[in-house]
Amino acid sequence: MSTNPFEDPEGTYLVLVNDEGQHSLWPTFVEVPAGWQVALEESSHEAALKFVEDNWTDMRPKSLVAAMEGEGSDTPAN
Amino acid sequence: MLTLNNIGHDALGTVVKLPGLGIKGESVSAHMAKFDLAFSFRESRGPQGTPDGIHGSLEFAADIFEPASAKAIADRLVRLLDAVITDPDRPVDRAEILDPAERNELVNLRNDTAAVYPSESSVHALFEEQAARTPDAVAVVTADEELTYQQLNARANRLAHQLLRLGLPPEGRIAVLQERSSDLVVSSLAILKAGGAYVPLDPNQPAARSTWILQDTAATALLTDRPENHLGFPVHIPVLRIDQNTPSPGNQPDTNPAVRTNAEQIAYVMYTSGSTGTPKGVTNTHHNVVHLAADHYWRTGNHDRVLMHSPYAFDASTFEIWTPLLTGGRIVTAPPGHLTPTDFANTITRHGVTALFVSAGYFRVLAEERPECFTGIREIWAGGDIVSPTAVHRVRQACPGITVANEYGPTETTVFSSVNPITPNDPQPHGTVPIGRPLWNTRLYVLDTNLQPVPPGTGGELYIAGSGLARGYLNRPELTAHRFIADPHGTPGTRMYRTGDLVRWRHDGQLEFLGRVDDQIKLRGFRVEPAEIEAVLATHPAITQASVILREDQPGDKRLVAYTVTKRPVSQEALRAHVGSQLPEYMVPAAFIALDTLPLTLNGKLDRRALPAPDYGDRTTGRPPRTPREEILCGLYADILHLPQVTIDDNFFQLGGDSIMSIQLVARARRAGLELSVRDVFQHKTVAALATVVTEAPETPVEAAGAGVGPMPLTPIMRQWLERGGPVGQYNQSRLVQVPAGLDGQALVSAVQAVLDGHDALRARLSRNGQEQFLDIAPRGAVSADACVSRVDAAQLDDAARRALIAEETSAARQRLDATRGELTQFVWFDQGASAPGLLLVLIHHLAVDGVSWRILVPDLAEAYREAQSGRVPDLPPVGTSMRGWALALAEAAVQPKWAGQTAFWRDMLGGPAMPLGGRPLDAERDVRDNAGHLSLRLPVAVTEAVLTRVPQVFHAEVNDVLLAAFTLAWARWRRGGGGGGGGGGDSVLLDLEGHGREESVSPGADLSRTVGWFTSHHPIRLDTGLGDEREIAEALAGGPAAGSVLKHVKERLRAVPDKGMGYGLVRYRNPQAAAEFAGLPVPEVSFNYLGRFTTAAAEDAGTFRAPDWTELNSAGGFGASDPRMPMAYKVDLVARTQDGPRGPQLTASWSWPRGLLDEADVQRLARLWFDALEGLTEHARQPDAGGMTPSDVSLSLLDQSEIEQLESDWRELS
Repeated sequence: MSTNPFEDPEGTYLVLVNDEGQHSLWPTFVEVPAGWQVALEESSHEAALKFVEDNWTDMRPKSLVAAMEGEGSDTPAN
Repeated sequence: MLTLNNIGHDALGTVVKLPGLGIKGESVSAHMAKFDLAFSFRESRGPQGTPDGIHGSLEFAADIFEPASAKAIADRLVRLLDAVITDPDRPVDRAEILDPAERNELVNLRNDTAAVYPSESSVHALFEEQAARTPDAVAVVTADEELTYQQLNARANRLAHQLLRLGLPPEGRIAVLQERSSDLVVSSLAILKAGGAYVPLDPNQPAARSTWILQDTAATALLTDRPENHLGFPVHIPVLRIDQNTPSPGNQPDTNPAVRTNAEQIAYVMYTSGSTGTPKGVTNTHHNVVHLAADHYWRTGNHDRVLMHSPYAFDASTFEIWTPLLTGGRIVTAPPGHLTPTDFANTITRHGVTALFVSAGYFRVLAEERPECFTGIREIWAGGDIVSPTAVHRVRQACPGITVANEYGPTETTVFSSVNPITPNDPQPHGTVPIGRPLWNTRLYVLDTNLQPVPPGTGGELYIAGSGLARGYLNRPELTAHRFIADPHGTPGTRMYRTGDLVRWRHDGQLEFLGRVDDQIKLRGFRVEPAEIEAVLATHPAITQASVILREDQPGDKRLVAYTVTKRPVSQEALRAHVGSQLPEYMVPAAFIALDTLPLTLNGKLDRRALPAPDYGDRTTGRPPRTPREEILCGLYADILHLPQVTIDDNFFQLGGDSIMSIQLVARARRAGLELSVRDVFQHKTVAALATVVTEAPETPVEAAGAGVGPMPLTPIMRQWLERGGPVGQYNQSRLVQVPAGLDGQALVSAVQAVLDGHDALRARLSRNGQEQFLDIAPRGAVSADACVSRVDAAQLDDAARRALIAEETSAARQRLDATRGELTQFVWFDQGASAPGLLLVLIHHLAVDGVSWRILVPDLAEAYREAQSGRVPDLPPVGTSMRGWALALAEAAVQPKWAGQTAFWRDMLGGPAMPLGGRPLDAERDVRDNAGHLSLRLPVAVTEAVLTRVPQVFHAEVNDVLLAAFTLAWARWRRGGGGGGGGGGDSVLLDLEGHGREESVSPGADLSRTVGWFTSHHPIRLDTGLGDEREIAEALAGGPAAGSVLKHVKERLRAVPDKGMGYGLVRYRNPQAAAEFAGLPVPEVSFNYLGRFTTAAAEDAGTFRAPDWTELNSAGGFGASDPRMPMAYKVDLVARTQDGPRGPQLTASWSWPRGLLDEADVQRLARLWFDALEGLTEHARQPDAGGMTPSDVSLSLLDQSEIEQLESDWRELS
């Protein structure tokens, strides 16, 4: 079997984000699934992962953040 | 194979021309597939030579492909060609080859798994609800403690309040470093209640790894059962000491803290090996755990009591802790450390464990060493690696009725994602065991490199979506986005996890595991990234290059091997220490091989095939064994490590041993008569050191081969039986066993031969040397199966005719037995042809079997038959202690002070008023089986249920205590009313009680788990009600408080018997001096025997396909297996058993008596009174103030019964 579409160091990738703020690496040649927006256009494997590292700073789903902050608790990001 | 014929039929005529002859081509089919698949295409052309399509045909090998699969392949080819023509610019690998229905089946129908569950509840809220519903149910039990739901909740609440005072933020991480215990459950629960997430630290992992995890998680506090100076690593956060000596903070409230917790908050962080060289922490949420643990699957009763034995840092602990707690079940915590097969068997039996998870590697070893250690388990989940079909087979054989579920699931999707439960009625899987279908709320996709589903039968990568999907990897957004990716096949905006596992769908809808797409390894259930080990090796100053691979040079024996290129020579020991200081034990390679360069393939990758296999043998450079004990241990080391020889100085672990192998070592050493623990192996490592700590019972020499052959003294039960008199030749036990339709007679003979050769007792002959009788055990092969097996045609018979035939043949088989000529076994096969299952009568002289023996013999026979049928020579697993070895040990023990000292106790037991039932002693001539009366009565289901559960619970008693208390009560009433011919004797009854007699403690080191023979023990006991007068007896029968006092009285009397009564047989029948002291004493005239609970095939299923093959259907006792001339041993003989039926359990009482002594109406009165008394006890146990402890329950028994009851009543008033 050929390499996995997420493991090709020479391939080009998008970074997708959903409504919960969760990020996903995505191979350019596959159609973007419903419910996801492109946060980073066609980039190298390395650049796409770097983008995620820089931008996805709170890994909690947005709805959880809203619920927890609605209760007025201060929460550490993780 | 593909052929394209573009010449055409008619073209032949233009190529070959013969004068006067018209020539035309015709297709000829060979009707024989030359290839697995052969595609052929033929162009056709119109009259003007214009193209007129291509005809295709597909020829397939019918022994490989089903017609439907071949058709599907052809259809896909046509669809692909269509797609290519429709859109010629599209790359071929993006074309759709599934039809819409197939695609829907794979993506949606197979994943239609949605189940209702409380998706917005936190784990602890569900637990708190359960605790409110069943506060008094037991939640956790350990070797020395039981916690109810209420107690567990209160303890966890106190600890949670204390954590909150430390200022724990929501999702705050708390590390836990504790041995397996009830406190570990308390800690996990408390952390969740306080809104935090627990982080297990493996007590066996190196300090460096623990330190790293504490930093990575930014843990707020550490909970531990160790003193701070024993942690082994520095901590700069609050440490809370949790252990037996420092009970959880009493000054904290035990109310639920009611911290609002969202189900999407994380509940725990578990670390797995990471390919970048550092471990990664998977963050699982409350939602994940609730999805898994609150499902109805766990509520069938199979999972009532779950064993907790996996490492806490391994995600199986999620199953072990939360499944029982969220469904009202019970956690049974195993003792700390690695469990040996014996530990498993003991814990399972002692606590009635019904379910457990075990990793595939562990499962294989347990199945090899002692598959019956799972006896009592209803469902076992195995996985984490490829589960061996042979292991599944062995366990199912040894434990009929067990369900073996092969599971699959990464930590990232919360423990289990697919499961294949193999129930007792399912056939044995051939080849690989499938990993099954998606779990509830789980979607599994097998996708190609374009993320499109592949057809069934085709390999693809497994992707998992659904409620088990974890949040991601802690602090690793890039890694999370790389593995948890957008799901193009599910609800918009959801994610799926990319497993890296290669699988394929089978046509029956089950998944089959094929391998990995990367280098990740599964070892003993743990995930290992070789890159992580390589990264650690690379930090060693001498190493320039390192590569780690998993080798399997012996089948089933997987070991990590490191290949290194170094600047200067480094010893294996130094490298092992270096890796061991950073990584857990299971990640330390078994061998380190130095190479000049790492061999590469032409395209520059590591050439794995050019890597040399490690020679573990070249490290065996020490001294040879000096003592028999060392010799045995060296032999065991060599066997387990697959080495030609091992010296006493060789280190078990440096030769490639690991924790699973050390369990194997302990199990095999035990069989050889040496006691040691897994801890001993880890601590002492070499044979020389280990030999100084193992214990062996001096009276149990390690059995050499052949030790089971030769003359052997009779066991106490054999002597007791012979003393009774009567004809000895045909006294037997028998079973009717269902066998496969169209049984292979030759294979049956081979199987019987294997059983006769494997179990010494079956080759015994009752012999005499002057006055002394003994058994003479003939060598293996001395008894020929041909002489013992016969076939009877039973095809086309109606029920009555078949019964008559069986009765006639059984009686004839019995008459062929002759103990004094060594003719002890008869196997009669009732052949019902190829269309109906047959029956096999197995009839064996009682000298060679007992009740427990059948549980060994029947599975052995089945296993041997299967092997013989598939053309192999049957080879049964070895037997531990032989019947002869045990008999010799008993004879020796009987004269030793420990046992001889019990003479007075047993004499006193028999002394006392005689009970001349029926007015005369038994007469061996007149009172024989032929003149026996029989009566069989059934207790209603509701009463049986109470007798089995509530009554014993309330009174801290065993079922046997309850049955005997009722019997004693019934007896008193019966005798006072003139039953049994009146006469003296008072209220007390002198009973004979039976036990299985396999008390291995009599001869330390003995292992009787696979020994066939007559081991049964008997001992007398005198019981009375302890009540004063007629009025109290009436009150007890009616369920008043007097009923409770009878039960307590009888229970204490039974508890006073030492060593389960083993001593009586020893002194009375094996110690001549002591035996003389029993002369003239009364003997028990009444026998009471409760056989326990049975689930057997329903009688109406016998001989039909509804009953599985090799099921025991019945005893043949009712079919003429009993010798009518056999004298009766008792005047009243009661045998009771509980049968699990479709309506529930039902106790059946079978009464026998000599008709010349008692009349039926009289026995019937006693039988009814016994049931009345059982109902009375049941009624009494319903009262709120019923029950309580007795002195034997209180460990330091300084209190008598009245003081205990005073305390209990004071306590009731207080509460």
